[in-house]
Amino acid sequence: MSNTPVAIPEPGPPPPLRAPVAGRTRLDNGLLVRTVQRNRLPIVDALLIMPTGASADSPRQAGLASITAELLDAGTSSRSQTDIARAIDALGARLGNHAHWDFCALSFQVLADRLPEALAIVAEVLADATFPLPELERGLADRLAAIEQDLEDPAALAGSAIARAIHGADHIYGTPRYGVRDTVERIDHDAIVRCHRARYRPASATFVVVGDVLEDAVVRVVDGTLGQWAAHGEPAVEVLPLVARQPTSVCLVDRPGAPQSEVRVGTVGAARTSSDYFPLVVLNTILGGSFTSRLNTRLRERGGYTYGAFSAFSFRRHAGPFVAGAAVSADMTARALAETLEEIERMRVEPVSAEELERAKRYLTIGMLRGFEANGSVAGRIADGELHGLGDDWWDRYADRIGGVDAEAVRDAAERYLDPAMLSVVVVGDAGRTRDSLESLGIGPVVDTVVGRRSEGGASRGNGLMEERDRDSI
Amino acid sequence: MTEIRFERHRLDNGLRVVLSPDRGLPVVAVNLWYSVGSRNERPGRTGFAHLFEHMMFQGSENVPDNGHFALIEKAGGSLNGSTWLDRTNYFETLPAHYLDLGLWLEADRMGGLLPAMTQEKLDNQRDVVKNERRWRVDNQPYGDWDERIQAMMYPPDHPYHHSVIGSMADIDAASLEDISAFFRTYYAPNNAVLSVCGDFEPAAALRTIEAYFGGIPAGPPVPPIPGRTELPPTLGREIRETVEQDVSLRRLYLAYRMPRYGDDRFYAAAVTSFILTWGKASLLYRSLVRGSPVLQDVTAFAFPVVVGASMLVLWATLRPGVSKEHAESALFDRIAQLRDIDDADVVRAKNLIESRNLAELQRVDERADQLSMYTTLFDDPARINSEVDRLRAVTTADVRSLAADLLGEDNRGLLWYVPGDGE
Repeated sequence: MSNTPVAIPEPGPPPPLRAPVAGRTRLDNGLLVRTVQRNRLPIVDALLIMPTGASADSPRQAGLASITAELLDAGTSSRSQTDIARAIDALGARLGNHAHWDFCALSFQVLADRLPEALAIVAEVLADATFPLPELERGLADRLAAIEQDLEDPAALAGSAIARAIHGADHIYGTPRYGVRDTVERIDHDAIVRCHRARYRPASATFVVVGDVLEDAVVRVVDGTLGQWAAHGEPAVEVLPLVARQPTSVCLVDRPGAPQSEVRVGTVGAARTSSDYFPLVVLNTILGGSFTSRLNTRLRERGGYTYGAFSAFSFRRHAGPFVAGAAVSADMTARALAETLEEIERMRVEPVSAEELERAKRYLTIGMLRGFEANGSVAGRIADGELHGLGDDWWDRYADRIGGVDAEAVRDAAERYLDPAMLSVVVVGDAGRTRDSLESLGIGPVVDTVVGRRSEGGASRGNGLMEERDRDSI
Repeated sequence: MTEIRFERHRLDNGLRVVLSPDRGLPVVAVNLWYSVGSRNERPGRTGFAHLFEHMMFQGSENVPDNGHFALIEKAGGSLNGSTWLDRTNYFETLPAHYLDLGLWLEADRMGGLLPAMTQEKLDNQRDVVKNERRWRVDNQPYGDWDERIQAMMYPPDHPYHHSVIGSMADIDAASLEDISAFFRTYYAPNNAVLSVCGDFEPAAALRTIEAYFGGIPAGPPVPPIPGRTELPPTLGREIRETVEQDVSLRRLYLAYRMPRYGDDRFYAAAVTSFILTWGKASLLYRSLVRGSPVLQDVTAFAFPVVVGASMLVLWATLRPGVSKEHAESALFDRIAQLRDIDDADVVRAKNLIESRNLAELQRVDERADQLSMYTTLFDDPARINSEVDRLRAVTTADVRSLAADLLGEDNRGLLWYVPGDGE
């Protein structure tokens, strides 16, 4: 048909893989500054992380870290929110402030020669955020409305429900990071001010700068700005209970008339520093972490039930969830769930093929290169290393450590983490259309579950999830 | 301030090639734009360009069924494709030493897709695409807004009247014969642009491209875009639609007809969208989200489309308890303020666009996509460097006159989503 050669081209020799080297300086107030010089474009990306995030929220006040982060630029004693935004915009900068599970972060990108001005604003915001009442009330109202909106989004519903099913109401991972109605309603100015003091502290923070800058110049200008930042009061302490895996059951969240069901299967995964990290990463790549993974191949490329099936371990400071899932056509709900469970089980009982193992390992070890492309992504990797004490040689050793994972290590990890009797299942879909077929799978009780709406009585049939609903709904 | 260097070539079969070496990291991006999108679909076949895009990943003459994904993933690469109104693009980012693999995979399907097509694959991808529609549109709050806005803002005989995803019935109707005809009509080297960006040697890459693509025959001239492709500059009236849905908050999608992408006034529209909603100092955020409690959120952007007319689309979610009438009058008041907008707001918006554009150019995949885009739409890859001048050239007077001429009652469509309990 064409003259294109028939044979697949062979690659040339691989390029050397070396992670960027970051300078390291600790300032007098304890702030660690890490700098990478890269001159492709005249911009810098900066990322400040403070290693206490949403995990340190009380489950009764879930959402506190995230609201505090969001309101950080709501005003200082000398500037309003609009003043701050105008000053940032005038620099052509973009400011991001977020709380993740393991940390609170403030990030910005700016033209390299405007870095000092951007740092002055950031330092002011960090040290002198006042959380003005009108902005705070508006922020809380926005959050409550956003939570309501998420209850209409089937994927968001499924995410909340599987987290609660895996971790329970007493563990902060069992509630969305941005909170639920009851927990957000308990947040006030005092709580936010205390959260800010306890978590935004220089002594445990890391500031990463990547871009068109010289390390000496960065350290000088950071010392004159963030170097003057001081902490008050006591630091936050994070205490998380251990979570036992639960016997398999199916939480069915009704969305009458839904043309698709959001299906999730999950269990407790592993911490970022777990010794099982590398086998689990390889396992997940084969199971649902790549396009050619078993789940996507079976549910999408063979079954056509879904636009895409996935799985992921959320590696956090403590063991986060493992979740597999897909949005599947309503009439294929039980079948797609059964096939998902079969693929999970197959990881435990038979070794992965040499071809799959090789593909997954190469996908990971060569693919990690692309994460060094954008400055912001480099900064994120350096911050992640500091946060979890991974060491500066983490990425240089990565290929060898992935390479050392064999089929037995994958099978062994699957056996220990993916027990079919201890999986939580969530289906968000048309209950009337799916309940019978879900029950006939015989994998565990099918429990009608209401997420988030205030209880109206009557509808209740169920287990702990339902009972919890009234005081702390998800 | 930063110049992206590139070289252009054209093969004898009409394939346009843009090569842009950048030795920052040992990665390379391969990007192909075919000048075909939902605008080229014939009646009864809405959604077909997108369904066809899926079939491009189902193997070709020398590539096994799942080979495209498997070979790229095994090389540590990432890949995808996307379909929009004016174009369909295919792209992969690879470690630099796998450049030839990416080029070969693209050439094999450009030259020899049809031998690999089967009814079974079509039926499977039809199911996948229908599930994509359910996921994006039918099972999503406000999910059909773009379908409704396009139908509202473009007349039935305009190629943008229907959405990219298309209707379930039309997706069902697609046949293997349609695949063959579409491929032969649109998937020819003379209707495509190939861009390569990253760590590679241009002369060697060009030799490989000649070897892989050079033998693919040119296709026949591409037929004109069907339907009416010229539109009057304004709608000439206000159009309204209200949809009841199971949502808790009312949301308005507000669209204005705008000049097509590439027209000088389109850049004024882009700047206007930033003045209105980008960042916490933007006009609508500071007045209606932060100032008086009317809106929960607000976003606006200009659609970069080239046939007849584009749109400035704004969506705003109302805070609980705010009436439609109150929100409309507040919004229209603020939009009217654009007629005497200050320099400061215009400068702020232009700064933001400029820094955002610069940041996007960090990644080789984005550079390659922009080079393909500017070559496909304007036959001018140098726009990757000069587009910013068009934005800088927008003056306060331009924004004011755009607001006076095009942001009025006679040029807008309003699509309301309201809770289904009848209010």
